[in-house]
Amino acid sequence: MQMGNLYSKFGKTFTPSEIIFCEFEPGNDFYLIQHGRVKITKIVKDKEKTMDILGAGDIFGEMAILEEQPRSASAVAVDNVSVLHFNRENFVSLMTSQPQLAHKLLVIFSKRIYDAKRRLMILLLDDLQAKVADVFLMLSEKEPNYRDLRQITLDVSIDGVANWCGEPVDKVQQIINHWVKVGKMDLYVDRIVIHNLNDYKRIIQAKRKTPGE
Amino acid sequence: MPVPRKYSAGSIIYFVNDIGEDIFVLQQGRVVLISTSLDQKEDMKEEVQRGEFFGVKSALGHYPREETAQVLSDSLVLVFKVTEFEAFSVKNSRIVLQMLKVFSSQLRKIHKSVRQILGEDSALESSVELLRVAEYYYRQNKTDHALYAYDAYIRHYPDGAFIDRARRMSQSIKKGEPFPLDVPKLDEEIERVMGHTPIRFGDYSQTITSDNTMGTELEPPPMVGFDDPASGNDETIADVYARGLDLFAQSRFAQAIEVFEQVLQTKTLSGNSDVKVLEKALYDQARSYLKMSKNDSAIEKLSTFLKKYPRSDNQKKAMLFIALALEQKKEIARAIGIYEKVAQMPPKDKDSIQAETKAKKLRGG
Repeated sequence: MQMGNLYSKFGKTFTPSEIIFCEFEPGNDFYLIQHGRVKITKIVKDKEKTMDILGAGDIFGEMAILEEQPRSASAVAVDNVSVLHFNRENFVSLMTSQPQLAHKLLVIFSKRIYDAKRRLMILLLDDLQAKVADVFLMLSEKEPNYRDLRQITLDVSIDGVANWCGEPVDKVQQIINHWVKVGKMDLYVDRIVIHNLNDYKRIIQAKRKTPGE
Repeated sequence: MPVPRKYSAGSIIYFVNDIGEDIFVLQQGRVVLISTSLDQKEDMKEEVQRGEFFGVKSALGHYPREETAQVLSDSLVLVFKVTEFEAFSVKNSRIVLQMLKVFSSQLRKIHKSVRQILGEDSALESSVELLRVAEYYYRQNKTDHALYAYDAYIRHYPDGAFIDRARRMSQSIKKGEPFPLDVPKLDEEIERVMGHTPIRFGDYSQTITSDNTMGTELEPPPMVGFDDPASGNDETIADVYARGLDLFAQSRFAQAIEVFEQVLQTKTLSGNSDVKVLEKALYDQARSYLKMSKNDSAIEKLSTFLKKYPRSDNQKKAMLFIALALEQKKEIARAIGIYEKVAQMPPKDKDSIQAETKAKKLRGG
């Protein structure tokens, strides 16, 4: 199928500031931007925050093809936007006619699966201290020189760490306070400085046969 | 071209946690994938079928190997580089489609486990949150967004507990009225209907079930009680970046460069989506320099970009821009070299063709 043909079938246009989908709305479409820019926003503590700006060639909302989940953010057209929109029903015809898009989705899913698994590994640990340590490791693993890294600054607050662990903030605070007291880390409002990642790797190695090295 | 490789019985193709960019297909023999279950309780072994791909996710996602691939009997394995696999997958969409199905079912299972652990995912709660979003927009006088959200509620939850409220608000917007002051507060109404104080969805609940670029990629919730000094009170770095893009679109490149610089100077990031914004800002700043024919600055920024974001989708374009800048600087030999490299990078798209044409033209001249 040619792009023009595809567009007449699955194309949609939006005018500036028009909403494409709304946070918490159940949805099962995903979108490929043809022209224009799309703003991804979330309402956080009673303020609307822009999370990202996407342009031509970007895909958004693709998690929706898996299961009809509430959207985790809103998508709003910045200028005149044209998109191709897809769902489970026309997914196969799109993927066979746009093999490059299929490949792109494969890459996105590969990353998603890893991230989701990594996150699940934290939740499956059986003690809180290990969970907190593993959050630090997970956040550090994205650094290209992770294996040789000792000191690292993580842009995360205690609330953030608690959320990653799925545990109450006060309990996480206790553990972090202890580590600060014994000189293993420094705590700031918006960031955490880890002195030696190996301290935390050791905690996890005791728990896991194949630690995230 | 993918190369065939022989492995003898007992040898290891890769170990868990290895970093590798190869993708394998079993041609002959027997290979087993050995891993530990996520809860560490069991060892898992899965034998690869003949013709089956393995090592795909870790190679494509640039992540450590998730299992050890051990050879059980003398085997013949076809080895693809990531770029070769991409070229192959474009021609074999049926296989990719099958992989997508497997991947999405894996992802769905993981999400389910996460939700089970966290005890989330009540339809009632997300319908309430949708209403909250609608009311936020209405109060902010963004009536078209509010109307969209109320109508979404009415469409998806026609028997919902707050359907009367949603209908009334939707009507009131259509009549052009301001936010009605005589309706009870939403929280009070939720308490009346649900019989308990409303539990607000943590920001956390969205990190795992979210859509692309909406905070899935290991993004902790936004920071509390902290304002980014570079971007003023409510402005996120994505907002600042958007301003830069607007200036770029208006060909006000010098100002765009300054605004992108402001993004790049941001010291505190509230998550991975911010990291992505930084990547885009650096790329677009380089493009702005190129537009102004400040070739040295453009090359410097683009080189930094290539080093700093080796996994970026814009790697190929960045190289193409370097070649363009070199050409403008009359460093023709270097420009040709890079054009030729770009021309070889799959997939064959309009950038490859442009690079190929340029290389030919410069060689001919």
